[in-house]
Amino acid sequence: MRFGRKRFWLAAALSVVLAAALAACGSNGKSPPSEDSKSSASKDTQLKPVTLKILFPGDPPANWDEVKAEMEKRMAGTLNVKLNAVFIPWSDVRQKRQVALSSAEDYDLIWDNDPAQNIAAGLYEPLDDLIGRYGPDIQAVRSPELMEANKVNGKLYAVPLEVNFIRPWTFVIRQDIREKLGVKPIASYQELIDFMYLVKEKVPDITPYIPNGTEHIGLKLAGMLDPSANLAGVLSYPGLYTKGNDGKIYNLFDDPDPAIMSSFEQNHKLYQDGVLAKDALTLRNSEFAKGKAAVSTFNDFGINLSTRTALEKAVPGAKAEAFTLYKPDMKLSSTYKAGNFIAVPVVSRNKERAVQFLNWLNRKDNYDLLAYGIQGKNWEDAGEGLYKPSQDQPYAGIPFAWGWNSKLDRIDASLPEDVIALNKWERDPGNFTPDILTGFTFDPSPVANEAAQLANAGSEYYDPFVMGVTDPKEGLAKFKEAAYDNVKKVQAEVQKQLDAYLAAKKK
Amino acid sequence: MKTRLRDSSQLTVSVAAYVSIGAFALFCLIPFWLVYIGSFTAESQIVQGFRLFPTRFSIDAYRFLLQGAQIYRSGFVSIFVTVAGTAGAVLLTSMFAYVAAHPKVKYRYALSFYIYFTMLFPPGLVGYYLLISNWLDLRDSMLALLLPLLFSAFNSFLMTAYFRTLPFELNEAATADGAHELYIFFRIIWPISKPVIATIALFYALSYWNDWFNALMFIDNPHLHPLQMMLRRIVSNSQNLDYLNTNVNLPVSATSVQLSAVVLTIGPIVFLYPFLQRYFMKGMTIGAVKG
Amino acid sequence: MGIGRELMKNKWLYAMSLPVVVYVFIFSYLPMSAHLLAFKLFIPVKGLWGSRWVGLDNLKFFFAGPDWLGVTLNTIFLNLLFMAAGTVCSLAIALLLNEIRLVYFKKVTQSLVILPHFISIVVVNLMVVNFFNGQDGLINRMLGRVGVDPVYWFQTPSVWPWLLALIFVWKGAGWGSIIYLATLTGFSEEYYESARIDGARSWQMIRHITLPLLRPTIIVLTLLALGRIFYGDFGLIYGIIGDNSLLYHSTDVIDTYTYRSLRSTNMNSYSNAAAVGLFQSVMGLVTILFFNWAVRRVDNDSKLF
Repeated sequence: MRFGRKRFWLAAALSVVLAAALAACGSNGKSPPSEDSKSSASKDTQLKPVTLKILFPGDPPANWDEVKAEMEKRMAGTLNVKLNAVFIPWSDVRQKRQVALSSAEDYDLIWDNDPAQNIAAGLYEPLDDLIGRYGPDIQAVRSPELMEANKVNGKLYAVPLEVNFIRPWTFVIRQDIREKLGVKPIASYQELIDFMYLVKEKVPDITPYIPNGTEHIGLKLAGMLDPSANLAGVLSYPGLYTKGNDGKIYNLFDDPDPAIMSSFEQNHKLYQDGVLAKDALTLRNSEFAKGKAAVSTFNDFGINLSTRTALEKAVPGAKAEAFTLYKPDMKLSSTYKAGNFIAVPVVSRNKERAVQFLNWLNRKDNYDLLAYGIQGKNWEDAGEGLYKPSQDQPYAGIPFAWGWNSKLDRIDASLPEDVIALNKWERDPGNFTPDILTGFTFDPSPVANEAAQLANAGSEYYDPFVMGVTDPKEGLAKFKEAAYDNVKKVQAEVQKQLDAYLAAKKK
Repeated sequence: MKTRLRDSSQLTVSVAAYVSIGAFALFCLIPFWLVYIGSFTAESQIVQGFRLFPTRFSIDAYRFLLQGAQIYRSGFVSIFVTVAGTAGAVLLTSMFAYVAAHPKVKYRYALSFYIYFTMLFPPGLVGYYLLISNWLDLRDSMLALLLPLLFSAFNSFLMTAYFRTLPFELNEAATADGAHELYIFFRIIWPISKPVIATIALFYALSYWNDWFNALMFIDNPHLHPLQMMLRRIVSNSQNLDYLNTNVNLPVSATSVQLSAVVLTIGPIVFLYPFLQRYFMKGMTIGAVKG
Repeated sequence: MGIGRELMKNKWLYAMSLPVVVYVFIFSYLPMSAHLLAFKLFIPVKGLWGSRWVGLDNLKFFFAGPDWLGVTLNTIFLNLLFMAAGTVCSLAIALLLNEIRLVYFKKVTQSLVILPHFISIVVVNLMVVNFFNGQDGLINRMLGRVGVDPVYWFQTPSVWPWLLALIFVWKGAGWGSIIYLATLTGFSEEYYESARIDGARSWQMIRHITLPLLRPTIIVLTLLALGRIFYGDFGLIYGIIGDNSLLYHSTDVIDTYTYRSLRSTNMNSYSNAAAVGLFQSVMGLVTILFFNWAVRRVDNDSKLF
């Protein structure tokens, strides 16, 4: 054992050296960002040229360079902002954003679609003051409901980017197959089911139904079939839901809502009858674009351009149409929660300029540029709130990541009329009543361990019966056995925080 | 090398060798063949699934890729990083592995443990990111692609294992003659270690060539993206091929562009293998060892 | 006791090792400090040192539930399976290639067996889905042609350890054989000549000459793999199984389990992940110390350190 001991001492000595070296690195590696807030507060630095580093999801749109150059040209001499836009592919953006934030990388603006955790961790600068001083347009184009509902503990940490006040989704159907089978346009959910069975019978080489994982079926389907019940999941916690806008959190074990349960039962039947894809748990709605499914589900109303073109390329003669149960006369409630945000990290050295720049983006001409590209080349005006993308050079901008607001955003005029009507409906905050959850933000840290375990139990036991792969009653029993305690704990914590929030709001 | 088959058992071994190697080679080839054929298949066909022979042949996907600017930029980055990195890595690793195997070095096992410990306790993502991005400030620099892969403990152990089988009496004689340690290493050891050096060079070359993670983490500028990062970009988002910077407008499907990019990114490194292969063929290096 | 003297005596040899010693210190030991995260409630703004010390709390999410034992056993089982299958197949390929005398056949097959190693896991996944999917996968279509009922592979957990091992072998065995081939090439032809004169047969030579000569390499590779036995092959397993929960029972490993638990709750997830990583490393250290000790008793020259 002589060698063993020596090795131990070697390792011990190394770790001491290591610690000393690290202490040195740690202290000078990260300089506190406090000094900049003073210097940039003085007005005379305003015209100094500044390059803002911005994190975006996805890939740069075609013609991005030209749009960026045009923006910089418009700002030259006034705001004097140059842009360093970093695009991170969707598959990696979350991981990359977290490491960048954790290591205090020098971003000035960061797109975030789930900022609650980062706000709780103190990574984003509170913007109320800055917006008060530099952001009149940011406020002008956003409804007060939106600004208010997206505050956390009374402060706005990220500018909400949203045009829709509900989260709609739609079934997408192969129109060519429907017409070939002589079925008239789908008008009800039952007709849709009948169509799937007909496809199963008559078109054996195509899968009748591939939903987008567990995203839409189950809870969301039950909610769409009976909008007045106001069913919704609780964040992404499996087994929890809210209903009836009553401020209570329910779990599926103690309160198995009949509408939700019957939706599970139906999926199981579809699965057993071979209508729902056998490998549904591994497939997503991208299968639809490959021509492998007759029916699938997508977010939003209508069919997005990329799915449409991909399908037409993959299967010559194929056509797609959308079917949704949402109607503009529905009375729905909204939490006014935004789906996208843009935030200023606390480590940014250009916080004021970043907010000034955001304000600049929220002016009509500039918004049109960021969203639709160069007018006349990439798009044309098609009347109030509408635009026509150019046939051969459309600009697929990413307004949702830095500018989205329902006042300035335009709807694609080439969409079917009913889809345009639906879009207009979901963009007007006045069409919805405030949900009781409006403004409530859950802080999961007291139940972090339970939530982590629940996430795992959910994908192992919950997803299969949501998807219809296993019998819902058996599946629910198994899920209960694995996760009942954790579901209860998370439920109790959400309820506790919600009660406290509602009590505080009453006062 | 003429070997006569002496008896039936020898024959059995030989036949078994030919048949099983042939079968395994085919097993390895077929999926690659599917990718290769897929890259030449016209866009409407490919969605029907992979097939052994294309019914409609098309090179549009390659035209699309090769007329874009990105593949040349990325190709340059990949080749430069692979060549420079491999050269440096092989030099560093072989010197270290030699010392760790040298019987005269009293602390050779301590050195090995010093290296091995890092295999057991790999730095977590945050530590690694802090190091490259904040402490060394290598973001958006080719050094962020070069430095992290410059030494692999695994390769070092492979080399050490090889060097331990060397007849060190050889050096004793040389040292007695007053030869310098560096001279012994480069003039005596290096030439007789060609197989293992070739192996390690191949391993390093591949790890440089296949690396996308460092690019993903540290390189934001598309001009510095290596080929694998380019591939990852177009595979992760099949809707957006603009990244390739192509001006031609061809009706290509994303899948066939992805597959042809796979073929193009595999190509150069596959050609490296036959070049190094001679070092693995028997009978090349034996003479030297006999001494 | 004489460290200085030893360093002076072999100063050139130690100098040759210096670049790597320094490099490893910077690139491996410095960032190891982030393992401190494992014991902290990490708040980025406060940094590594300012964050609050919470001891072993970060491991709670892993050990509190009933799953940790299952995924740990899966990790060990899959790794042993991969190690055994990989070693045997790589060795077999190297030995068989060594028997082949037709130079062109040898060159071509040798190049072919390493091909799969170059195909990225994304593409492998594409192919696996194409082969095994229930509805219109290649395998089920072939089964259908000979009148066998389709097998829903993606719902049959028991076959996946073997399928994964098969994919592992397909992907890596040819590549792994390069190490053995390179080692074989270094052997003196004399050993074989004298054996041949004594009338030894091929398989006798393999058993009594080649394998014993390859033993140090096999041992080193096995020891290296054993140290990482608590680390699952995340790239391969997640790349192919993904979020298909029906297969977790037999394929979920520590790394995929941790990844799934933490991706939806990112608050303290780096600390949690670091804590699990530390658990894996410490267990690996214990394992390797034991086996290295065992190897030292049997064959002192092959020990790692």
